[in-house]
Amino acid sequence: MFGYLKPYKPEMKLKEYECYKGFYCGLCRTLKQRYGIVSTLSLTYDAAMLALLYKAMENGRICDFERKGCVFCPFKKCTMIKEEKALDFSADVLVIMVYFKIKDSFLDKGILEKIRALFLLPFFARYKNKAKKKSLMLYEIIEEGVLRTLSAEKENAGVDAAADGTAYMMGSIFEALSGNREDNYRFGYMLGRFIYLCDALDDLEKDEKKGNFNPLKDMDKKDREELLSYAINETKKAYENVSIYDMKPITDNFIYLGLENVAESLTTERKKKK
Amino acid sequence: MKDPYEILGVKPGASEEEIKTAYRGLAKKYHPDRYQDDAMRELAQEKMSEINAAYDSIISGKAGGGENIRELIRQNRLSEAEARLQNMNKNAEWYFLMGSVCYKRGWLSDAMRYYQTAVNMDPANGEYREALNRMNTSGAYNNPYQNPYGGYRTGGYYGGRRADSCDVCSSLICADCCCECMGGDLIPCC
Repeated sequence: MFGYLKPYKPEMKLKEYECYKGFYCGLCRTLKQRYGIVSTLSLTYDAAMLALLYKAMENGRICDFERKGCVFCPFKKCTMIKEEKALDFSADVLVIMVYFKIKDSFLDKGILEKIRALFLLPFFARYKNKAKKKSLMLYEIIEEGVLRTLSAEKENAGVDAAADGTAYMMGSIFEALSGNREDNYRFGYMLGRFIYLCDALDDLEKDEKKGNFNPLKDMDKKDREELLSYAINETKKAYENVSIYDMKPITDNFIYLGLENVAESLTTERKKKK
Repeated sequence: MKDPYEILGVKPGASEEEIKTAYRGLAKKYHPDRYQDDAMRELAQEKMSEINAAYDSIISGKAGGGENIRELIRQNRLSEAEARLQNMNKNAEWYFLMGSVCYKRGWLSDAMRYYQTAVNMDPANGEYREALNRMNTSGAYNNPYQNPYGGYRTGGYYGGRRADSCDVCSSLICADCCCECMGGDLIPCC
């Protein structure tokens, strides 16, 4: 989860944006209270989106807000969401995922990344243990997803097999949300697949230079764009089978505009660099 | 119901001993007492009953009965369907079914390849073409941002609105109106 799941801001109403931001700020605060101040470094748009989807797919009352002090700026007050279950869930997922990401970058990234990872690793190892105690199944799901991805990359697998790990992980996480489990799995699977493809596209140039594994390496530009657009189409179809009870305008914006916007910016950025 | 073999993580045709070991391992892993969190506990309980059902259906020999492969795919019993497909000869139908298995699994780019091969081998078959076209369209019927008149943001770069048969008709009628204004006629009957 590295910032690929976000709504398209220019098309949002102010109230929708405030609500979305409420999840972001609320998650930041939850992270600090549940794990510690260092864990707020890991905060991403995707995790806020996960918390929002968790709440949106729950059939129950609409969410409450509160005004509370910002975690970082003592003079500022922020609107935060009052949804402990959704925020706790998302915070757990986030720290476990970030732990694995840091561990990965410690093992095979450049020297600067390694120093950064060395500094962060002890903190996140502790957070991970805490999260594992709280929610063992989440830990096991994410661990298996990471292992699957690693083994696929070792075998130089095709796009589908390489994306399967991340997709499986997100699918299984979404299974824990309320609603039909099979539909939720498909929706999560497609989102995870989208994340993996975006990540691969983002790293493409770097991987080409260093000769690392990247499933998109042997494709031409048109194929890559097509691949992303199929992934987005299927995500939309899967989204329409999932029941959304609350904040539908935000999730609609995220699915119908946000995904395309992220994909578009990734492909055009690459064009500019060339 | 999902594919019982996939739930237990064994290959179709595995021995009884293998199935039992897999079952025991999973039963230990998903034992609800291991999970303190409520939501996770509920999920673990559901998984547990799924595993039990899968185990029962395999052991009693119900799975892998006389159903055809399409039925297996419809029921999401994908690895069973795939195992049966391994022993068939590769005609257009084979590629189509393999494509369906991949599609259900979410392996879109493999699915695309198989569907494409099926269409190339048998271009006259409507079902194969339909499956391929379905992947090309966004299928987003509830999209509130897709305004047929363009709006201030058009369909976008990916999977934007494509012309359909209604567009053809309305465009023709518009053209006819224009022609009639100028004294001509494009569609004589209206």
